[in-house]
Amino acid sequence: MNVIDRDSLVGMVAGPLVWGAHFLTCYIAIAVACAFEFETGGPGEWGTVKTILLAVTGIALALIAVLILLAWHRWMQAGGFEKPRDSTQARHQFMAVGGLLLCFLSVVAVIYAAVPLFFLPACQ
Amino acid sequence: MTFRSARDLEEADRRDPGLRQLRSTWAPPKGFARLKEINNTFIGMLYVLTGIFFFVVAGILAALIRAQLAVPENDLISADWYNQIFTMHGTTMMFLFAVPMMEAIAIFVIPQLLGARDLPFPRVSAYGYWAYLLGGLMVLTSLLFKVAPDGGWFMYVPLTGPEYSPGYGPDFWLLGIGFIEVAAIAASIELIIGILKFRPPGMSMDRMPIFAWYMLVFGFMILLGFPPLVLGDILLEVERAFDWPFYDADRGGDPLLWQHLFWLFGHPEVYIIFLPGAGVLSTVIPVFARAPLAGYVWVVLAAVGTGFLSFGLWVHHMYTTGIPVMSLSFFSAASLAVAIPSGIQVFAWIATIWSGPGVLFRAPMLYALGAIFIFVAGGLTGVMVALVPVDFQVHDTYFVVAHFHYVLFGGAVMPVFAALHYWTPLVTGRLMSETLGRWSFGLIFLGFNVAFFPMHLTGLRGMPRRVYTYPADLGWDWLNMISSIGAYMVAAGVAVFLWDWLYWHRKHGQVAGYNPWNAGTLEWHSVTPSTNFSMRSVPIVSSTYPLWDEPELGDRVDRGEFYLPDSPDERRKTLRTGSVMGEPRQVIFLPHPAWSPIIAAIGTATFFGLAIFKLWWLCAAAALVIIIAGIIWMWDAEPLPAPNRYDVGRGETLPVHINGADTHGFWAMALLLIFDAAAFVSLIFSALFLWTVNRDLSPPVPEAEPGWALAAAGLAVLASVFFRLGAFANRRGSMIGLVLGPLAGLPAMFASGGALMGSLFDAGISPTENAFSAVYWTFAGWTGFHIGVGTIFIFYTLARALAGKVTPERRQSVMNVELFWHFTTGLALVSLIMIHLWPRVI
Amino acid sequence: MGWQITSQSNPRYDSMQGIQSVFEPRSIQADAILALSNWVFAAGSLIFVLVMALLAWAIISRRRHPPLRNTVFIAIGGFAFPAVTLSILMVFTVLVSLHITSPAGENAVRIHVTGHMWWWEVQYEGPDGERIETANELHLPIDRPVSITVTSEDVIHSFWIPSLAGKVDMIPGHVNEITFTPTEAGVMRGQCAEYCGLQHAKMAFYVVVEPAEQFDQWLEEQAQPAVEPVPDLLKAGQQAFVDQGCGSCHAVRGLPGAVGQIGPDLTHVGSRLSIGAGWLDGSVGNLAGWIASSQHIKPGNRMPSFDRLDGKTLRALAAWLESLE
Repeated sequence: MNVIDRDSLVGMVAGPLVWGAHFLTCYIAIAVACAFEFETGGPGEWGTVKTILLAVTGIALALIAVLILLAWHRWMQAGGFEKPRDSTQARHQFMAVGGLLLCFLSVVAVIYAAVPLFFLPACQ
Repeated sequence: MTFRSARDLEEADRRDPGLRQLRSTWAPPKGFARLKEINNTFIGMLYVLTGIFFFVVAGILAALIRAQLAVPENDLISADWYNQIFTMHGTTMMFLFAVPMMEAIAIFVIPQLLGARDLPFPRVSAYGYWAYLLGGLMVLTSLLFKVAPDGGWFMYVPLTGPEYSPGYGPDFWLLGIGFIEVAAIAASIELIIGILKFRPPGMSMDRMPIFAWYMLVFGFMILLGFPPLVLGDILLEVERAFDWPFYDADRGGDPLLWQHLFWLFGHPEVYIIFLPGAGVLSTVIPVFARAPLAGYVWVVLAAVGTGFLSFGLWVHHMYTTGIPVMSLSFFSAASLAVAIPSGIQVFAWIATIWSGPGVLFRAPMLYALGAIFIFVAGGLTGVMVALVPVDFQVHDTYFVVAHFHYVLFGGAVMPVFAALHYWTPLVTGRLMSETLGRWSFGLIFLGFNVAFFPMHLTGLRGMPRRVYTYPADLGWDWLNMISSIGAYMVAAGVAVFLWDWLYWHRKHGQVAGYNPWNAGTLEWHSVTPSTNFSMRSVPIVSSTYPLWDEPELGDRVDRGEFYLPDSPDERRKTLRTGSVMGEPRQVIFLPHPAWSPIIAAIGTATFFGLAIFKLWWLCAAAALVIIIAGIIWMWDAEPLPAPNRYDVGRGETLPVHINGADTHGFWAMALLLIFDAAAFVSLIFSALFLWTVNRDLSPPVPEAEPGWALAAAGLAVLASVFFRLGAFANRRGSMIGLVLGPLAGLPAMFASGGALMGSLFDAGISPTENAFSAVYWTFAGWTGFHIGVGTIFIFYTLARALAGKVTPERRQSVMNVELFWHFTTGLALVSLIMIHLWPRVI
Repeated sequence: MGWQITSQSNPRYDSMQGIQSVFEPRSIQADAILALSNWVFAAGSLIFVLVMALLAWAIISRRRHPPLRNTVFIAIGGFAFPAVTLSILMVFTVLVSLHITSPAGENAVRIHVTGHMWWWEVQYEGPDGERIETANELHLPIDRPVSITVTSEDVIHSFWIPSLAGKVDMIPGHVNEITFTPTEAGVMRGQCAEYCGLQHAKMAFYVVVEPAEQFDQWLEEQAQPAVEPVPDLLKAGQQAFVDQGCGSCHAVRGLPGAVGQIGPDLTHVGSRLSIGAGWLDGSVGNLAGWIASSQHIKPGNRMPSFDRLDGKTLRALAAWLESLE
C-alpha cells in the first residue's frame, strides 16, 4: 500500500506538523489552565504551565532540528547544489529542499509562538 | 501536420480516424440534453459564468451600500434593508463568488494543464455545479422577498439564534450555504485526486505547473477547513429547529463556541481564496515576463506553508472576546509567521520579472501587477491587525474593512480578472480586447484604491463596521463620499470588462489561434478553443514548461504520437499515473453524460429548500430522490472489460480495472472520511470547549446501566468483524460469505446504535436540557446517521453482488463500503467514550 | 409633526470632530496603542515603498536577473528580512499588550456596563460598594485607573471608546473587563462595535472625563433619588409620566411605581448629554421629539412612539424629564 509515498510527501510536511502540534499544545494548555485556575504565573514568572510549555517548545525545536538534519542529508545524497543529472535526482532534490525550507519556516513560527511565554502572565 | 487554426483541425478530422473517434466520443449531447453533459470544459464554463453572475449581484449590493453611506444620516435605505444587503454582500462574495470561482477556474483548466481528458469524477463536478447554482439561487431568492438573512456573513449567535431571529433569514443562510459547501467538498476531492493521480506521464511532483500545487493545497484546506463550519451550521440549525441549546448561555451553551467554529473555518477560508489567486499570479507572471517562475521550490514551500499556518490564525478574529492575552499572542505569532510565505511569493514574482527579457504589458499582466500592489498593501495592514493592541482599536472598524478588501481584491479579485483575460481564449478562441482591458483595469485599479484607501482613515477615526448610517461631523463625511465615488469607478470598470467578456471579444476579438501568449504550459499546446477532450494524445512531459522546452511537443500531441490517441470503442477515458513520479498505471473509463447528477442536485436542493420551512416529510421524499439518483449513478461503477488491458498506444497496454488503496475511488472515499472525521473532531472540540467555559455546569455523568454502553461498544466491534469477514469471503470468491457478512454485521450495528441511544434514554438525558446533553445526543445522532447511510451502501453492494457486479476481481466497491463501516465503528466507539467515559474522568 | 427630528445637533461640546477617534488618545493605554500603530504604519509604508520600488526596478531593468541570484534574492527578501523584522515586532507587541492589559489596582473606579439592544445600562460602584444606576453616559475622573466590566442581556455588543481604550465584547454569559487610565479632560464618544441587529448604528454613548472633584460630585448626585417637581408644568409632566405608564419600562428612583427595567434608568436623565443612546442631543426639544416619535428616529427600538399625546402634555413631560438633573 502506497498511499502517499512516505519518504517524500509526508517527509516534506513534517516540519509544519511539528509546528501544528506545538501550537495546539500551547493553546489548549493555557485555555485549560486558565479555565480551571491552576495557573496564575504573572509576567516573567515561570509557573507550572509556562515552564511545561517552554519545555514543549524545546522539544519541538529539537524535533525540527532532527528533521532539518534528515532533509539536509537527503539533499546532499541527491547532490546538493549540483545540477541534477536526471529526473529522479531532480525530484529528490526538490523534495529534500522543500522539506528543508518548510522546516525553517516552522522554526520561525515555533519561536514566535514561544515569545509570549517570556513576557506575559499566563491568564489575564 | 500542425494545428495553427480551427480549419487545420477540421481538415485533420477528415483525414484522421483517431481524431474523428475522439471528437465523436467526447461530443456533448445536442439540444436540451446538453444539460446532461458532465465534461469539465462544459461544467467549468458554466461554473465560471455562474461565479461571475454572483459576483455582479454581490457587486450591486455593494453599490447600494456605498450609496447609502455616501452621506451621513442618509435615509435612502432603511436599517432593515441595509442589514440584509450587507449580510448578503458578504455572504455572496465569500460563498457564492470567491471559493466557487476558484473551483470553477480549476475545474475548467486543471485537466488541460495536466494533460488529462477530464477530472476523476466528472459526474461529481456536474453534481457540485448544479448544487452550487441551485443553492446560490435559493439564498438569493430570500432577498427578493425581503426575508434574507440579516445577521452578517459571520452569523454570530445569539443574534441569529431562535430568540432574536425567529424568521427564516438564518435558515436560508444555514441551509443554503450548507448546501453549497457540498459543492465545495465535491470540488476539493475532485481536484486533490485529479492533481495527484491524473497527470501526464513524466510529470513528477517537481514538474507540476505551479497552479496545480496551489490547487492541491487549496483542496486539502477545504477538506480540513470547511468541516468546523459544517458542524457549526448543523448545531445552529438544530438549535433553531429543535431547541438544542449549544449556544444558549442560560443552559450551559456559549455564543463563543459559534465564533470558534466559524473562524476555524473562516480564517483558512481567507487563504482558501488567496492561494488560487496567488496560483494565477504565479502562472501569469512568468508568461508575460517571458521567464520561468523564479524559485519554484520556494513558491511551493510558500503555498504549503501558508496552508498549514492558516489553521493557526482563527482567534485573531476574536481578540476582543475576553480570551487571556497569552492565548491571543499565540495567534498573533502565527498571524505574523504567515506573512513570511507571502513575502516569499512576492519576491519570487519580482525575481521572475527581473529574469525575463522585458515585461509584456498585456491585460492579464496589468491585472497581475495591480494585484501585487494591492496585495502587498493589504498584507502590511494585515501585520497591523495581527498585533493584539492595534487590533483592540481597529477591530470591527472600517480599517479592517479596508484591510481585507485589499487582501481579497489583491489576492483574489484581480487574479480572477487576470485569469479570465488569460484563459478565456481557451473557450471562445478569441482574445479579449487590449484596449477595453486597459480601461477596465485602470478603472478597477484606480477606483479600488480611491474607494478603500480612505477607509483606513475612516476606521481609525472611529467608524465601526456594519452601521447603516452615521452622524455628521464626526470626521467621516468626506471620507465616505470619496469611498463611494471609488466604488462606482470599480463598478464602471467591471461593466467594461463584462461588455468585452460577454459580447465584444466574441464578435470582434482577435482570433487566438495557437498559443496566443506564447505560454509554456500544456493547456496552450494546440489551437484554441480547446476541445472537450483537451488533448489529442496524452503527452510525456519532461519539464515544468513543456511548450517552452520542447517547441514541437504540441504538434506531436496533435499528431497523436502519445498515449490514448484514438477511441475506437467510443468510450471516454483518461490516463491515471503515480502520485509522485507520474508513471502511467491505469486507463480510467470515464462516465458519459447522464441525468443522474442533475437530478440528484435538484433532489438535494429540494431537500434543503424544504428543510428551511421545516417540512420534514417532504424532505424525506427528496432524500429518497437523492438516494435513487445516487444508486442509478453508481450502478455502472467499476467497469471491467475482458481482457482487463487496454492498448494505450506506443505499444503499451495498461489495466482498466484495479482494486486496492491506490484507486481513485478508494481515495475519494478516504478523503470524504477525512472531511467527515474533521467535522467529528470539531464536535469533540465543541464538547471540550463547553467544558472549559462552564463554571457552574460540568458535563453530566449519564447514570445508565453500564450494560448499555458495553453492549454498544461490543456490537460495533462485532459488526466490523462481520464486515471484514464478508469482504474477505468476497476476495476468496465466496458469494455466500459476501452476503452473510454484511447481513450479520448490519443488525449488530443497528443494535449498537440502539444501545448507544438506549444508554442516553436510560440515563434520562434529554437533548434540550443543557448544552452537554445536546452534545451527547449529537454524538449519538452522528453515529446513527452513519449507520443509516452505511445501510444504504450495504444494500447497494448486495444488489450489485446479486447482479454479478461484485467478484473477487471486482471488489473495489466492497473495499470502499468496508472502509466506511470501520469508520462508523470508530465513530461509535469515540462517541461512547465522549458520552460515558469522559464525564467520569474529568 | 413639530417634534420630528431630521438631523442631529451637537451635544454640549465645541466640536464633534475627533471625539470618537483613535487619533485623539486621552489615556495611557490609547496613547500606547497609537504609538505602536504609528510605528508599524510608518515601517509598513517604508516596506511597501521599497517593495514597489524593487518591482519597478525589476520591470525596467534589462539585466535578466535580480541583483543577487534568484534563490538568494528570495531567501533574503522574502524569508530572512520578514523573519527578523517580524520577530522584533513580536516582542514589541507583546510588551505593549502587557502594558495595556495590566490590572487596574485597588483604587480604581469600578463600573459595570450591560449591553442591551440598543442602549447601555451603567452601574457605578459607590464608595461603599453600592450600585449607582445610570445609562448611556459615563463620567470618569482624570488620572485614576478605571475598571469596566461588561456583559450583555441579549446579543453580543462591543464596548468601545476610541480615545480611551480598545474594544471589549459584551457577551451573554461572559463578564469581560477592560482597564484604562484617562489622562485628559474632555467629552468623548463611544459606540457599539459588534453588529447587534437592526439599530446597531444608533448605539452610542458619551463619556465625560473631568477632574476628580467634579467626578465625585457628579457621582454623589447620581446616587440621589429624583428631585420632586415644584412648578405646575413639571408636576403635570410627572403626572403624564405616571399616566402613560412610562414607569413600567423606565425606573425613576424616588417616584413610586417607576421601577421598570426594560429601558434606561431616567432618574437623572436631564443631566445627560444625549438621548436615544448617543444619537440625539439631550435638549428638551429632542426629549419631546423622542417621546413622540422614537420609532421614526430609531425604528425597531423597544419604545413605542407616543404620538397620541397632545402638545401640552408632551411639552410638560419633556420639561419634567429635562428637570431631572
